[in-house]
Amino acid sequence: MAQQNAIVVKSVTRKFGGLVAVDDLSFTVEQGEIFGLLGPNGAGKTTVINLVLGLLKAHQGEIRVLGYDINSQTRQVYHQVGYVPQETNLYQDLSAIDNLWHHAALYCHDLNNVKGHMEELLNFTNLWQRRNDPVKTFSGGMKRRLALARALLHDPEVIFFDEPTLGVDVQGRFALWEHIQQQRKEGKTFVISTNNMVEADTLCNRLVIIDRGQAIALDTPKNLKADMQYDVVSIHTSPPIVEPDTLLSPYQVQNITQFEPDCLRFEMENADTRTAELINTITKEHQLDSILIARPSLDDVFLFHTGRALRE
Amino acid sequence: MRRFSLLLRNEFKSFLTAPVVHLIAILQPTLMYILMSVIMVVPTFEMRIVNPSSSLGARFIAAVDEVGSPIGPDYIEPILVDDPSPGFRQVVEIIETDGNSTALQTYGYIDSNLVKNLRNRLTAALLVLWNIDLGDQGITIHEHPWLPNDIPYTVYFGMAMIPLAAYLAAAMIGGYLMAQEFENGTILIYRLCPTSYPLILAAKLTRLMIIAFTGAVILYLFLGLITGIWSSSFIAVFVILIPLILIASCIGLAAGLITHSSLPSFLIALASAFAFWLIGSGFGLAAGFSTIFEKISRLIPNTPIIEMMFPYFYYGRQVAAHPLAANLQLIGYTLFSLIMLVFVYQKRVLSKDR
Repeated sequence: MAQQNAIVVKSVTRKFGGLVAVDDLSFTVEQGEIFGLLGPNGAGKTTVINLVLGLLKAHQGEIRVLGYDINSQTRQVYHQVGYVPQETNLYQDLSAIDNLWHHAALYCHDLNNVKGHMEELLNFTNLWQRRNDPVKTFSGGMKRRLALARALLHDPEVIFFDEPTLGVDVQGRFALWEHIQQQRKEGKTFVISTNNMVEADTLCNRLVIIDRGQAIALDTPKNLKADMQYDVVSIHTSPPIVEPDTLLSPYQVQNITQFEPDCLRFEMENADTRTAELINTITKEHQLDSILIARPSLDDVFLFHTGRALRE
Repeated sequence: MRRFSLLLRNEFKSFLTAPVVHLIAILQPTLMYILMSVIMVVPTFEMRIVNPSSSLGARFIAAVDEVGSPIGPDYIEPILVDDPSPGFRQVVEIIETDGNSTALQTYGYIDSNLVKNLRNRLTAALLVLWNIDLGDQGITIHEHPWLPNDIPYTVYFGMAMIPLAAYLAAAMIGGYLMAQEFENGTILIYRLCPTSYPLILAAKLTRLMIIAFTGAVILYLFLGLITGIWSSSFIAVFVILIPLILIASCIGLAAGLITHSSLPSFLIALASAFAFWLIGSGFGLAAGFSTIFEKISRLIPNTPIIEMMFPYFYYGRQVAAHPLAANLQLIGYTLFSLIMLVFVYQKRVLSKDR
């Protein structure tokens, strides 16, 4: 039996005045996967989440969440989705447990078992000991964990997590990733929006790269990187190479970028087999201080597809 | 019911997010009343009686008391002096010449219902005195007083501030907290929740009503303690307030929903509360002012509310010009406010076309 799609986004367009924020976007999210929306700031990731959640209306196209049309069956969808927005919207003066009670009153279908579930979630996110403390005394990571616990309180099928680890320290980041992975193992579907490559690579089963409101690539992180036919080469030379296009013309290189005067980065086909040849060419007139040949990262995937750096 | 009580609990917990605003909204009118009634509004109406040691002077004081103006610091406080200075506002001089008694009243440059009322009382008191002198041939005096006893102005002043207290608490807290939901991003919780919004609004309105009643009850208690006058029915006074509290809650919540900002919401609530108080019979019954002012005043919900409360403080005396019309007016305002709130909530919270 084919796995049912948790989310179907079909040819969706959304404009703000003359600006096309989302342009004919299509993708599907399968149940039980962690799906990433990857893109730079302003790419349209949050707009996509708002459209899928029904907070904005698409000007064209169709969106279904767990089989329900988001515009006509909003109430059914809201029973089964959780959302952790980018800016953690907790009541700062209330305690963690009061924040959960607030959420329970608005979201939980069954209020009889909610108390036990709260304890379970606060233990799961390691916040039980701090349950009676005002949220304003929490660290950024604790707030994100509490927001996740809150989003899980009504036992939703799909959880939207906008920039999960934005402003969270390293320890908090790993803890959050672990919590998300654990929940996925229990069958939850996650849609996360991020511009953090490591996060996308570590967490996501599949991801869509969005730029200027358009989907420019959609696959697993592994396949996206494997599809890259070039290795990424970074070299430091002295003196700096003045005309890299001319020097590297015998090789099939592309996207030459000079980050600093003495540092070049370019993509090259089969760089690992032609390393010696490349070094010879460079060292004829320059001293080669270092050379690094690497398989492409998601950053490189993005660069390949858009021709510009991800974090602009 | 469980969900509603939980929603209500959440609403009350929000006290923790703005305790100072709560205290201001609940206590400000009471503090203002105490200040104005005890310090700024002098409740004592000084009546200076010259030659008080004469038997006639003493009889005059007794006569004033007899006709229904309480003698004492609450209303008329006789200050016995031997020398009438021209600076006094009210002077009554009892003169006996050739066996004739003359009472000379002198008024300064003041004019108010209180003075007019006092003048009538004095006239009645002097008639009583005259009758004593006439003995068996005395004139039968039929008094038709509007009230059996004069009631200090501070009672009216406090009574008219009860709607202000209720309005201010509901509108200010409603507006401020709703705006804060936008400022803190917590409005998103409401936008995505599957619970029906009428239930959410009902919890908010219920909470605001309880808060508004709290503010009104505190003022009511201080009014009673300061003046010694209590309404004939406690419950009736507060039932009368319900439409105004609903109107205030709707205005406050709508201000928060429209402005998305605490300060403007706070100011809208404050300004509307005081405008309604001042125009809506805050310092005297609408009928006592000019025709134009009365017409404007009757458009404000405070006026019919005060007219309905009036009998409970003033010996059952009805002052509403058209009680049925006033009731319908209040019902209309309340329904309009509720419909407006639902419309604004749908537009500002639930709408997808932003």
